[in-house]
Amino acid sequence: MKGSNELAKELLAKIFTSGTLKLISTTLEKLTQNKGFKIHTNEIIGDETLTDQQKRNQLLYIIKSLENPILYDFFSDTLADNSFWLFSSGQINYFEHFVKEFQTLIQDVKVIKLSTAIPLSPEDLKAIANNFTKWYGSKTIIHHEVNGAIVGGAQIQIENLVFDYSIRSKFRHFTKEWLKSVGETQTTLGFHDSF
Amino acid sequence: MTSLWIIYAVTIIYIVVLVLYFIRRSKNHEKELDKFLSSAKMQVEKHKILASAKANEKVIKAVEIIKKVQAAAEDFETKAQNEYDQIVQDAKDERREIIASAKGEIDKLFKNAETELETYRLERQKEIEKNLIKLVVAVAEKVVEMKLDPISHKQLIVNALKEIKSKRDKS
Repeated sequence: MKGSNELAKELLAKIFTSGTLKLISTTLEKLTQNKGFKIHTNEIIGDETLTDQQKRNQLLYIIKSLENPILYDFFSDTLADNSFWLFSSGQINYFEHFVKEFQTLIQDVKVIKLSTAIPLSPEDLKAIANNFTKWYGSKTIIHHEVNGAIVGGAQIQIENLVFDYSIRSKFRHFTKEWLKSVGETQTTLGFHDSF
Repeated sequence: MTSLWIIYAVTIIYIVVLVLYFIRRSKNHEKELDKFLSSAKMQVEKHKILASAKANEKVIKAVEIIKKVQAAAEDFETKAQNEYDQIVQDAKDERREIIASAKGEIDKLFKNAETELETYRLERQKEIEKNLIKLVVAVAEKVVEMKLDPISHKQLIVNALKEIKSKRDKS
């Protein structure tokens, strides 16, 4: 059986964008503060008249109402091996413990800002985030923005470093070089001012 | 009758005596009057002479004053004329200097204007060239933007990521 920390890591592994992370983090935080959720889930787990399958279905029904597919998939996988203990709130509130573990893990997540001219699919973002995770050796997620002004390519900010591989920057560089060469030509011809 | 004649005779004699007396007295009066008149004439003459002398003195003084005034006026007129001439001369000199200076200023202004015009022309030319380059690049940007399909976009993004990776590997 997996512990809270392992489950938190599994959930984090399913997240690849900052938007999703924020949404899941907020939802989990709200659930820990929701007394109704705690009582209801505890009642389902403690009901001996229900089979494991029925318990699983009822818990997943509640989670489905959160309208968060990632959370639903995660809890669906977790409950597949009958890990009902996560929603048990007897002497120890395991769910709260799990959320705390998750929030702690978030602290070390590296966020990379990515701007592109076109929207990227969740699969693309997942692949990019996985690549960065692989390169850096620690969990990395993407904060993606669509900015049509960059024309094409990508602008990537990693901590304080900005890598501008956009078409716009290439055009700007090209314009600068062109203007410089025109200025140099004018200087050669006797116009002393340069651009 | 005789007495009457006597009376008449006495009366006539008395009248004659009276006439004689008045004639004599009249003559005396005339003499006194002549004497007075001659004395008055003499006094008048003396007064005339005195007055004439005084008048002459005053006239002489007046003439002297007039002469002095005339001399002062002439002197003043000469000085005024000299000053006027000097002022006119100065004005002429100043006018000459102003004209010369104005000509210099005008020449300078023309030169400055020409220089400014040339500078402005060059700046405008540069500005136009600059705008032209920017316009060409903007058009090129738009063309590239239109030509880029999703696959090309993704390829550019992948290339960007590869460049970052290679940079990271080098560092």
